[in-house]
Amino acid sequence: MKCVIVSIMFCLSACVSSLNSPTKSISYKKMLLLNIGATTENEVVNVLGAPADRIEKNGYYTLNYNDDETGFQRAAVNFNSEKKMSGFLWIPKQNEQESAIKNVTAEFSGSNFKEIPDETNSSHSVSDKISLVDEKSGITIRYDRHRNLVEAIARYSLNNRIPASSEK
Amino acid sequence: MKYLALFLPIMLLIANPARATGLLCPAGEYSVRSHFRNGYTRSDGTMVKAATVKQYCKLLSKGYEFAKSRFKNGVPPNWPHKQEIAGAWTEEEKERIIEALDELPDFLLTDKIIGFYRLKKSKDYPNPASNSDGVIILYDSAFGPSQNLSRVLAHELAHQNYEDLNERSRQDYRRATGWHMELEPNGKIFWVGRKDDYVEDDGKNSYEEDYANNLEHFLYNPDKLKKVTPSAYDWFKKRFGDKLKFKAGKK
Repeated sequence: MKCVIVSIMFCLSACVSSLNSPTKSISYKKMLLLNIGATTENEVVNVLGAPADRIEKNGYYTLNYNDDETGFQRAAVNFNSEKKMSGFLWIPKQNEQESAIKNVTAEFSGSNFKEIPDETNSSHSVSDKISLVDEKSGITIRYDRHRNLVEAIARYSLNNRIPASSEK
Repeated sequence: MKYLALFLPIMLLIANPARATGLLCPAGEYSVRSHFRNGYTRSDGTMVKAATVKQYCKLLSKGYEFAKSRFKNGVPPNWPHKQEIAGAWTEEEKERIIEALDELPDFLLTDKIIGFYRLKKSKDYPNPASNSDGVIILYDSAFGPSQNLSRVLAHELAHQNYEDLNERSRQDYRRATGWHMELEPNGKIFWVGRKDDYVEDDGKNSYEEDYANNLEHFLYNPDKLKKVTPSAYDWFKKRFGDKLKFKAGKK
């Protein structure tokens, strides 16, 4: 475990010192280098580049990243009030490895996922989207069963708390 | 020979009910059975009076060809709302559906639609219609005098149209109309739309609903869409061009 942490810190510091460009191509691998609960905003920007936008919420804030080529949203990184990274969201492209549910669940093979239907399901339009949630490991996978496509993967700190008046 | 004479009328009845009841339609037409038609208003504003319609032959149309094998009975398989129960199609309702489909752009009538189901009452009454994975459900309220059936169908078919887009086009729509994904601190992932500028309030619920509302408005109330959500108006215009319009003479 110590080795992993040291490796991550080494990589982060290497990124900090070597990457000065404001925009960088982002990838899932780079996202996994980020250390939830420890990585700061500056370190994230050094790894991923400048965000497309920053959204302030009640008690936390988010940096959004878009795809260089298409401009579509690719990732969101949350920070807590102490400006430490508290979670991230990755949106895979259709043919990427992480868009296949079997690959993603294999990556988290030790997890115990609970299936939660999409809250937007209504009488009027019944969708086939679900969230696979492992609250013990801090993992959420949003999955479109109809298209057999992973819409997003999220990792988050189990210490996060939502302020009572959190604004969506 | 005696048996042939006995069975021939029965076989004719099975093969062609219209002929058996004395109405044989020429090629290119189909038989509409006698029925009572309630008064209603067409989408172009024309009032259609209540009347008893006698059996007649009607020209085949795109709407008829599309709908004829898609009128389904019962409740769709795996329909989640168990309290919603099946109704029965009437000749009048089938004719209304065909007429409404005839008005709509051809590309909305996709093979992905596997059936029109007739249920009595939505759990969210007065909701006139629902959809799920190739299935469109029409409730009693869809055929009410104040309901624009063609518009109701356009909305439901728009849901299917969104499903039929490729992933890149779906993403393009979401970006163009201000949808993005967020992560709550507790790990919940959700979609967030633009803050306002919705032609219908329920468009805020999901990008799929927003898409269906906007496509419906592009057809039936383009001025409102252009004013309220210009980004959606521009997207539909760019994406579909002249394909997204009513058939000639209809609005």
